[in-house]
Amino acid sequence: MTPPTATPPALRLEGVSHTYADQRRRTTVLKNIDCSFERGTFHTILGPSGSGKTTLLSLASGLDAPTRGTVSFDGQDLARLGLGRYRNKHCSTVFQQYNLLTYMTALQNVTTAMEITGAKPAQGGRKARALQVLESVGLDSDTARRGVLRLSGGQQQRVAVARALACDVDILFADEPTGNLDEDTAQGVIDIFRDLAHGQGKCVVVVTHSQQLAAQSDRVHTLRKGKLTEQVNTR
Amino acid sequence: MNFVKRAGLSLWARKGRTLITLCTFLVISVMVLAGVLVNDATARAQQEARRSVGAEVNLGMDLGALTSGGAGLQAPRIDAGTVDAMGGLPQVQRYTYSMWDRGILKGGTELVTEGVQSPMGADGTITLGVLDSSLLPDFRSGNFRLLSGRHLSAADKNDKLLMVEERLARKNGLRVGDKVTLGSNEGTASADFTVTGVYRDPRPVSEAEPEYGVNPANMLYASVGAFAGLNSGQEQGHESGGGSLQVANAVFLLQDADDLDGFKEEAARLAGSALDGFALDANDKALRQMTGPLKSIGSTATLAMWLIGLAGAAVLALLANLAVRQRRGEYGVLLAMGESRSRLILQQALEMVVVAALAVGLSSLFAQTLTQSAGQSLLGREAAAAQRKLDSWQAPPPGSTGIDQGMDPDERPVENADPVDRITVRLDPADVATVGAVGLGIALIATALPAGAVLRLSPRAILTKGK
Repeated sequence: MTPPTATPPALRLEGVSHTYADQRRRTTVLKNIDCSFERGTFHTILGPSGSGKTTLLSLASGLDAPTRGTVSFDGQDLARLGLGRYRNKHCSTVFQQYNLLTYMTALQNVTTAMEITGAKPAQGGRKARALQVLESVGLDSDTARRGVLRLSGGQQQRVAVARALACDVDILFADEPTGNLDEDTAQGVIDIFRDLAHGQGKCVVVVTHSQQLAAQSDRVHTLRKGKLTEQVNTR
Repeated sequence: MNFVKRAGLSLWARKGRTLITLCTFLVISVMVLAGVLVNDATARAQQEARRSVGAEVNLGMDLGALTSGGAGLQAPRIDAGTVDAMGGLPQVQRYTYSMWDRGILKGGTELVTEGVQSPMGADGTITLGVLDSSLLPDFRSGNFRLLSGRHLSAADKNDKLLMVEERLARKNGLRVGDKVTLGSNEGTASADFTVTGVYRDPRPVSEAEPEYGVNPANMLYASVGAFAGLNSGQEQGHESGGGSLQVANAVFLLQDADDLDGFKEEAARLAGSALDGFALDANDKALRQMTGPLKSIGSTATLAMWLIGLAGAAVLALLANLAVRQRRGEYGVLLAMGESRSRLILQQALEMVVVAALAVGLSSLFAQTLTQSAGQSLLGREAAAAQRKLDSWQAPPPGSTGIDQGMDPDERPVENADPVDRITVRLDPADVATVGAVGLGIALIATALPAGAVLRLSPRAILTKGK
């Protein structure tokens, strides 16, 4: 599958700067960033440690607000839309540490996310849809009913991905999603992201150190010293 | 209602923490419920004690004021009209009053000379002018018994009637309807009084009447108006000769024991300064003697209840605060999904409330038995100590009030008023509701403190772990 071209951006960052301040000093991590993320496109953000990748992801996923500049979703400023509403209705994030609810089963993690975001499957109930999504990431129904602490790292990452997928949002963010996975499992997760972008028309934004992952994405954004450069992969 | 399901899952999955919270809540619930039950039981026992001492108010000399030097040596008197007004209050069913003076037997009637000798001269004895003799405490208690004739009543107030003791009547061959000549204190006046009743005082002649120090066989009871008139011109008072009738004591029988406080208030307002030197005693001393141990354990239970409630709320707030720290990751994930902070707080509050409800339910199963046992044990010890103190009291020598020996007349134990040594603990739905409300309050307080921490949570800071 090939990415669609010339689609309007789902998410746009304009003149975004971000500064962390404590009592002793102020550190500007992002400087006047302009970029956009379209639907049906698999984006990666590359950069060395401390370059501001995670900060950029936090701003784009509505976990934080920029010090300067605007982040807009479908043309609407997130500050006006509301960060909570944006996170609830329009995007999901997969974290490197999975961040699953440890007192629940894999299935309950997924259905809980669906309930919170109000995701309603077109057919069947939430449970059936959750099982279907879990199966799509390679977790059978027996595994789905196990407590997440009894799953391997790779399985937990798949649950985290399934949780994000089941919410049927427009944008999926992922922070180092393959950092803790072996090569085969990592490739499985990358395949899921590609399918999500190209098969389901979602916007997928992944922060990574992995050149292998970046090479499989449609667009690579590279962060250096707070500045962002963009490169389109032509395969 | 997503947070309800999460609360249930969280409680079930974190069994250890749930159990610790449940145990803490259980201890609080049991102690608070025990406090409530003990308070209820002591309140009921006090009410029963109040009913058992009767709905009676005595107006008499304020011994407390006397011993503290607030009153003179002269016994106080109050105008009979004021007492009549007090007797007319709606709470009063019946009342009587009395005054005393020396009366001198004349016309050949002689005092009983065996036993205690009269301190009032050869023929002089204490005569009590009384409005309604049937209301005098000794007659009402059955201590004195009317053998023949009838009591002096309010209708006889100004008729010259007299009640004599059985031994005096026997010595003089007196019967109902006979005449006895009674002289005034100073012997300047005398009148014939008709014997209207003969009564029995069970005390031996060798035992002085404790209040007046005379031979009990020689006590006379006369119509108050007629006897006071006989002593016209004397300081103790009377209604003839231009002066109004002054009395020393009164007894009011109320319709209902629950009217005691209301009556005392209204009577005090009505009489005003006329009550100076007097005390309105609603058998308070007997009631105090009976309910002292109850009040002691009641106040201990109340104090323990508050202390444990507050300490429990503090411990639970700390537990909840600790839980929030441990659950920062969970809350960060939920916030990242767009869950509202208010729902996170509701989830936390619900978890507390569920545990509180469980603890209150469990405590109600055995709190009654536990409280009955513990409360009874505490009360038994308090009552035994109070009883030992009463038993150790020694009466002053005959004819003495004991004040000169440094004895407080108010410490004399009241007879037939043993300290209450039993309570019956009863668990009512209202008690469970009270403890439920306390538990809910504690749960909400315990949630309110960490709620502030939840409101300040930043999902980015939690989930990116400071990256």
